[in-house]
Amino acid sequence: MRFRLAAFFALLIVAATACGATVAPAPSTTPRSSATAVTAFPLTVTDFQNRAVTVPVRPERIVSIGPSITEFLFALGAGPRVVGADDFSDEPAAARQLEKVGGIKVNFEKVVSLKPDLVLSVKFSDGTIEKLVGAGLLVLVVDPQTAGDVARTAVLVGRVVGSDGDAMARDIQKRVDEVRSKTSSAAAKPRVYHEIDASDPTKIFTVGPGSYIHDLIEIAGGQNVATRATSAYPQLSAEEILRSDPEIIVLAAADYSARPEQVAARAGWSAISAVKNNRIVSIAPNLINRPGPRVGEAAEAYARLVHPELFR
Amino acid sequence: MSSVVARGIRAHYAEREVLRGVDLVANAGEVVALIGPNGAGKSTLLRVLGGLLRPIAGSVTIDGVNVTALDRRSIARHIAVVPQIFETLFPFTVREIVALGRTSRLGPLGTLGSDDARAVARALDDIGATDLADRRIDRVSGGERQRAVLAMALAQEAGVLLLDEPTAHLDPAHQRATLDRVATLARVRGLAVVAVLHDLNLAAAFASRVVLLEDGAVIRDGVPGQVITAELVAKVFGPGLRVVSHEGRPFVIPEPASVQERQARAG
Amino acid sequence: MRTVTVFALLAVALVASAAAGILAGAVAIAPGDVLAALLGADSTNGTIIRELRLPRVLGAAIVGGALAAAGALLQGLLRNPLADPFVTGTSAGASLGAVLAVAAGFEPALVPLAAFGGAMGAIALVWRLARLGGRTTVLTVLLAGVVLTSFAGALVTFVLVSSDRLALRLRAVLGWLQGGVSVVNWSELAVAAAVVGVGVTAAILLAPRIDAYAFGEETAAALGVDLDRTTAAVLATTALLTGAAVAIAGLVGFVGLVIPHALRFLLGATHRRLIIASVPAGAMALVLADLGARTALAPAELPVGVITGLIGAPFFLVLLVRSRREIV
Repeated sequence: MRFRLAAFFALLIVAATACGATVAPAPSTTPRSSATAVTAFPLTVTDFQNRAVTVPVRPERIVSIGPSITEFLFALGAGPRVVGADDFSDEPAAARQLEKVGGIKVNFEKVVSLKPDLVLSVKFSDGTIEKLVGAGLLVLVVDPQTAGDVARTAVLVGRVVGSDGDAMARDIQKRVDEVRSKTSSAAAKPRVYHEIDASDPTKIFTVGPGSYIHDLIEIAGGQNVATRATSAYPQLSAEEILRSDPEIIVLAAADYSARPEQVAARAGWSAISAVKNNRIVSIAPNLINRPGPRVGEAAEAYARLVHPELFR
Repeated sequence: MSSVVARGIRAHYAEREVLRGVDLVANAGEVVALIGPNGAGKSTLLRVLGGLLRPIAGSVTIDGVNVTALDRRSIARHIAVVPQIFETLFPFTVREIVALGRTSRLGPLGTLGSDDARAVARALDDIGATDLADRRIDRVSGGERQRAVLAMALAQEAGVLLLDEPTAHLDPAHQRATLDRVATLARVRGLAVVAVLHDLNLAAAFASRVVLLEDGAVIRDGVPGQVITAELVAKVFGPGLRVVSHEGRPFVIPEPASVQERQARAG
Repeated sequence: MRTVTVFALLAVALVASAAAGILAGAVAIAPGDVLAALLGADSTNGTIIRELRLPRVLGAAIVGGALAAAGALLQGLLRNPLADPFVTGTSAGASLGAVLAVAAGFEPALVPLAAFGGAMGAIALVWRLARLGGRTTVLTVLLAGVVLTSFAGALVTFVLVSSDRLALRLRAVLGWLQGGVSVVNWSELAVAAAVVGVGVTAAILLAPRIDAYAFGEETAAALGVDLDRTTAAVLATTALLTGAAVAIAGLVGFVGLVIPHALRFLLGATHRRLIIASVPAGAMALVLADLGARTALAPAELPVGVITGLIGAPFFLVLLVRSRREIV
């Protein structure tokens, strides 16, 4: 039960990151140039697990397992060809009407019954990918973890569905660069503590290097208090948080998250600058939890929290 | 100096009528042996006398006080029961076991006073167990354990002492020593003693009075020679038990089955 | 003499382990600064020591003392050296009560009360089940505990899976159930200390009557113990202590089993002495276990139940093998 909970938690919070997937090797943020906007099929690509995957014809029936993948598909204009998506795919609104193929556990029978000619899926460490392949399906693993992965994802997904992913990648990069140039002019980099989960007060989780939100904090001109952590989603003790004295505390505005007044009331937390200066803020989790096509939007939203003075 | 009087006791056990109107008297200084075949109701009667089983009819009085109306603590001050099961999983010392006899006299904070310590020392002394006092109950012999439990009941300083098969699991020397001690205490302390005994010869040797039960009723009540007779033993316990008299005391000698008996059993 | 020595050693060990618990933590603070913080120095270190570490060490001490006292009570009542709140399912009952309270949307302040109610229900049920054969045996108590623990576990899972919305709220509860000392503030600590204080006092007062159970209930009754009242009082006290412990630290196993058992070797079987010694010994054990939980994989924290389980479960098995004669 604990494992399932952990998995549930992981999928919910870091929507696309099922079951302790490792961080993908960070590719260059510059999109690879593509000769043609519309792909010629058959075509062979290398996916996020370094598998060579050959797509014989333009996919017409796509199943998406991973909320950020769904967002990419719709943003690339392939939405009408998506026949099924995971339970957590809720962006854009049209994705909510899709056939559901499961959450933490993929419903294999459902996927097969949808007769997809391409399955795009995040990484799984429990044999899900192998099982889908074993069922005779064409599977491409797409697992963006960092801001840098976003452009690579746009290019890769664009190619396999026959859309112009390169243009999208350039757009995304442009928006991110705009935010970055704005925040780089700020006088100081405030210390930011981003709370992923602290529903058990002895188990406080935050973001570390290698996570998408860590990237957003950097782009937004903040300094992550867990910047020396060795994992993407490290556990911190309350003692360490007090010691690091964050100037801004960012919470997810989800119903399972703590509310600012609850955070302020935690034992000893009144000594933290962010609490003293009333800088505990919330942000929409769907926007910032998924390394998706809205990364520019997410970075800007985050920057408004860290440097409100730059956006007046 | 107490006496216990039971009148018209009827009791049920597991939906079965086990006692059907039993009268029993044990006076101070007397050892009354309850004898009878298995299932006659001896142990049940002892439980009723000890206030551990509520009879559906009849009364138990000690010196005129109706025991069934008293609470457990008061009953325990009048009646002590020597338990038959001696094993305990915990390493109590013999002295601690004997001190359990003072449970009914615990103060409001659950403490024992100097009176209690004296009673414990006297009980240990009476039973000749003072040298055992600091040994662990789970590390003494069966006979020593029996003495400890007897001392525990004595420490209760009750006028009535009830024993259920006090000689079970003891060798003949310890059987004799135990019952001799009980009989002496009854005389010296003026205790009214009721003991369930399976061994008719022990009953004849140590009891001042014997009560024979069969099927929940008293068949006869009298001195050993009046109760342990050839006629009654054959009627209640069946064939093959010869009763002889030796120095005025009845003796029961089991005999091998006769040829006719074996044939009858085989047929 | 021996008793005095044991109590003196326990006192020293408790103070030493509490000191270790306050000195060690996720953030390194020099002993001098710790002392200054305890004396009221106004700094981040002061806040860390006074608001985080000290309440946590005290919380662990309260939980450990409560569980050990509850274990001593249960072992005496059931005449079973293998009984404790965890193996008899009392803790599971408490956790079920807490989970149901959260699922029903009760105020957080009422959750410990629900934990107590669950503990009481569970222990009463185990008592009834264990006495089905007319007398309690080691085996039936353990079996009743196993059954109850799995039933409570199944019900918790059912409640959890029945609704995603509920699952979100219950995540907090489940994290807590894994066993972790999570004292939120001083007032919560004060309430727990008061409840445990009442429970321990009751346990000490009941102790001589529990001694009388040494040869079983019938003999206890013959010795003058009012069985119904005493049994109810012991079970209620056990539930009170277990409920308070579960409310602070979730399911922490084996402290209640190991501590009274070990002390019985040193101090003998008399329950008053045993319970009085169990409180500081249990406190010390859980303070050390919590210290281990905080530091073994720092900065990540292990549930303290993992530490007590790692040490306690093998101990339990050894006892089980050694006592098999009594079981069959």
